[in-house]
Amino acid sequence: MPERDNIQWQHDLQGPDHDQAVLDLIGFLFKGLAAYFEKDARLRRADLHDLAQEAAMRVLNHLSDFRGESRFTTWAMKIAVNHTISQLRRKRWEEVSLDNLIGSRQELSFADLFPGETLSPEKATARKELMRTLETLIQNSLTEKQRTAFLARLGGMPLGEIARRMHTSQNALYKLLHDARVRLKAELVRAGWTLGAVSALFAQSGKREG
Amino acid sequence: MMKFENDRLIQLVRSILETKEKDTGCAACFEVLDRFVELHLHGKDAARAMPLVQTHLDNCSDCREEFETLLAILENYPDGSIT
Repeated sequence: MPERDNIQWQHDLQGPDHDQAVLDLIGFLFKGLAAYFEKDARLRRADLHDLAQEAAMRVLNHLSDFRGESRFTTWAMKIAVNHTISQLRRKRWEEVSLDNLIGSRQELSFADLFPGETLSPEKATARKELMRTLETLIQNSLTEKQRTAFLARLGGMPLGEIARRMHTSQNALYKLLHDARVRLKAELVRAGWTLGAVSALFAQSGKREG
Repeated sequence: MMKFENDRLIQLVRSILETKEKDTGCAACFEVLDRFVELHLHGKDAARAMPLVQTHLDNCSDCREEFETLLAILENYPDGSIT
């Protein structure tokens, strides 16, 4: 298989003899996806081949978007990764509705936190206070759409899946959530909660999540 | 009544307090993610060169997952070769 630079890829994929270039592209994408996802029980080899083919079609459909600011192969693999992960997320969440995930009345319960952990009375009180503050802010400071999206995110649903159920784009949903987080941050800080204070309260717990 | 996993709550509070106001969003991040990944692959300070992308990846776990996957795959193809 020939090595191609960016110009050669674009030329060969659009030229009259583009079949070989397309096969080479599919092969490249498949190899990369297979190497990463080979141990993923959710995907068989045949699935990966289908995903590589679908991704290659997306690459071809968006060829005019390639600006040559990176390697063509990097740009194409970016599309393939996005497509594969999106499909995996869709499959994982296809049976889950927003109502099922967050409940029709969106009542929150941050109670029964950290069972089994031994906390000082001060720490336990502080945690309860933080969680009560957060509950109140989510209920009262966000719009209904923000609250729905926020709770769905809290339930682990990926952005693309929430967006689909709320009939919006992932980008628009992200901005909705970002505005919600900015508002909640301002309110939490106003209530006296800093990152340092929260980190100390939950030392050895959790990692960053968006 | 919606109940939450403890870890997710902690992550939530941290993510709220770590939120930076200026965030370009998922679409803008995706548009330039290939450039950002190549900076990483070449050992450059990608976060410094493209701070808005870094901010978004810090804020958005979905995009971060795609970035980490893309980086892991391409680390096996340092010169972008097919073989």
